[in-house]
Amino acid sequence: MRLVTALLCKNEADRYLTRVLERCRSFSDQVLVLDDRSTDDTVAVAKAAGATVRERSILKDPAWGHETPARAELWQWMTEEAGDGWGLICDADMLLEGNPRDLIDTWEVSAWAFVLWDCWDGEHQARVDGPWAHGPLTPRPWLFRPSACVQDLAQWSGRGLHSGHAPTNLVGLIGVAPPDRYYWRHLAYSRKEDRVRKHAQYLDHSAQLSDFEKAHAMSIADA
Amino acid sequence: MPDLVPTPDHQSQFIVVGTSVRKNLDVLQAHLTSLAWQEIPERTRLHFVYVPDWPQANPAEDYLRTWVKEREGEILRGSPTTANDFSDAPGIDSHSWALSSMRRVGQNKQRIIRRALELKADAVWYLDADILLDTTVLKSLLATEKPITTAVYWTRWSRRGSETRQIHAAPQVWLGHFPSGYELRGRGMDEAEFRQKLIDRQLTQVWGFGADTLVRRAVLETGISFDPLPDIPQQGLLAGEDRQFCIRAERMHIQAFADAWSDQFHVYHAPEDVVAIPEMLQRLGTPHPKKAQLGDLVSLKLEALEPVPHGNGQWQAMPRQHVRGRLGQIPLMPELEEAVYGLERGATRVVPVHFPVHHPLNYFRGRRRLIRLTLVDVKKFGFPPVLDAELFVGPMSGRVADTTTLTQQQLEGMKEVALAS
Repeated sequence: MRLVTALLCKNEADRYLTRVLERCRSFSDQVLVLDDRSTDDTVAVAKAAGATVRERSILKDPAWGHETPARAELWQWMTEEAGDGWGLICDADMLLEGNPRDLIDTWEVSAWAFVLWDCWDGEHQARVDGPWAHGPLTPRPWLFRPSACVQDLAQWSGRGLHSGHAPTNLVGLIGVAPPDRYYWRHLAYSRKEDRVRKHAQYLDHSAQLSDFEKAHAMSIADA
Repeated sequence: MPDLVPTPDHQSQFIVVGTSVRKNLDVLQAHLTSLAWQEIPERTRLHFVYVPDWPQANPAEDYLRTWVKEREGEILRGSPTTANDFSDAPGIDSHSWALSSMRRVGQNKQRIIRRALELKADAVWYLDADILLDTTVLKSLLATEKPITTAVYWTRWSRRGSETRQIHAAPQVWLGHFPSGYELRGRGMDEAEFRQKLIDRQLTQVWGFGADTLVRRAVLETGISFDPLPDIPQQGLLAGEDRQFCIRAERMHIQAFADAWSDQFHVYHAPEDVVAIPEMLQRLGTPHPKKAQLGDLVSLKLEALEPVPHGNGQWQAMPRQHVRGRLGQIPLMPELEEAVYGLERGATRVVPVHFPVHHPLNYFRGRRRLIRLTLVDVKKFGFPPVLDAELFVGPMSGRVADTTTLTQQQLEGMKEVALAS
C-alpha cells in the first residue's frame, strides 16, 4: 500500500525540518513539502532530504492567518500523489512515534487518529495542564485514505488559524492508533525562544481565536 | 507553573514491594533469592518496604536489613509484636493465627500502603516472604493491566486428611467470602470450572485474594485498607486481614483478577516444604526461552486495532484479550499462530488476520482485521508446583489421579509430563 507524507512549511530550515523529513522518509514512499514562500533555505533543505518540493504562488495569501486555502492545496496534492493509497499530514515540528505502515494495511477504517504530546523544555517531557491536557487525551485524525474518507467535494472550515488539516466532511470509520505506541512528539513549544515567537504570532491574530484557543495562546508565555 | 509529565517513551513505573515478615532465615533467604531474579520490565523501579514482625531477635531480620540496604528500600517499624499469637510449628495441622496477629499484620500492611502513597508509587506488590517465584511473575502481573492482580500459587493448606476428607491443593484466590470465608464456587461457576480455569493458567476475575498481589495506585487512593470491617463477623477465616481488603474492593466495584500464569511455590509447612526449597529454586530459576515452539505454554495479549460496532451506530475500541495456553492447542487464527513463532518474548507485532465466515463474533465474519499481538511470556509446558505433585500418581506411571474433574486436554497434558519425567 502506497504511503505519502505531506507537510506545509515556512522558514523551517534551522529548526527540526531535516530530522522530521528523515523520519517521514523512513516510512513513506514519497514525502511532499508545500513551501509557503520561505525566505530561508527550507526548499534546499527539503530537497536535500529527498522530499518533492512545490512552492506556493506569490499571488496567494501566506498560510499563517489564511490557513484554509493552503491546507486545501496540500490536501489536493497529497490526494493526487496517494492515489488509492494513504496520506499522512505532518508538520515540520512534529515527529511521529510508531510505524504507520502497520496501520495502513486495512480496509476497515478510512483514517487513523493519533494523540499528541506538546513537548516543553526538552523533547522527553510534555505539558499537560489546562488546555494542554487535550493533546494526549484527544486522538485526532492525521493519517488518511483520501479515496475512501472524502466521497464528495472536500469541504473546509474556512478558518485562518487552526483550520484543521483535513476536510470537514470526512466519511467512514476513524480508528485510534494505540496511544502507548503511536503518538506525535510536538516540538513547537519545546524551546523557550520558539515559544516567545509563537506567542507573538498568535497575539497578532488573536481576533481569529476562540476563547479556548486564546487561553492556550496566552499560556504559551508561561515560564 | 506548567505541569510537565514524561512522554510515553520516558514514562517509568515505581513499584513498592513488601510485606510484614516473620519467616525464618532459610525460607526468607530462598524467597529473596527468587525475588532478586525477577525480570524487571524496562523503566521500572522497585522499592522494597518491609515491616519486621519477629517476636524476638532473629538472624533473618539481620539478613533482611542487609538485603534491603544493598537495594533501594527501607524497613518500617511495625505494631508491637506478640510472641504467642501465631504458629507455623511442625506439629499442627495448618498455620494458627490469633485475632491479634491478624490485626497486627493488617496494621503493618496498612503502613506499607501509607508509605507507597507518600512515595507516589504506581503500584504496591504485596508478596509474602514464604513464596518462591519464577523469573517472570512481576512481568506477567504488570502485563494484565488490571486494578488488582494476584499471581496464583497452590498450597495444601491443611496437613492431614482423613478417611472421609482428602486434602487437595487449593489456590490463594477465591470467588466469594460467605459462608466459609473461602468459597471456590459461586459467581456462576462450580469449583471444578474455577479450578480448571486456574490450571489452564487463565486470567480470571476473582473476589478474594491472598498474598502476591499487585495493587495499582488508583485502588490505593480510594482509601482501601486492611482494617476490620464493622459488619463482618471477626471470627474464623472471615477475620483475616486480607478478607477485609477484598470485601472493601468488592464493595467499591474494584475488579480483581487471578493471574494463574506463573509457577510459584509456597513454603508453607515445615519441615516438608522447607526440604523442597533447593529443588524448587533450581526449577523456578530457569530462565524462560526467548522464542516459542510447538507445545510450549504461551501468554499472549491481543488487541483489535480497528473499532467494532457498539450498537445504535456507535463504535468502540475492543478491550484487550489475554490468551494463555499451549501452542498448537489454543484456538488461534493461523496468521496469529505463525506470528507467535516469529516473535521474541516481550515483542509486539501488528498482524492482518482473515476471519472465517463462521467466526463466532458476528462482526469479524469474513473480514480482514488488524490485530496487535504481544508475546508476553513463553515457557516449557508443565503444571505449577504442588499441583503437579498432587495430580500425578507417580513419575513414569502415566496414570493420573483426577482430583479436580480435569478436562480431557488437561489429562492428556499431565500424562505427557508424567511420562517425560
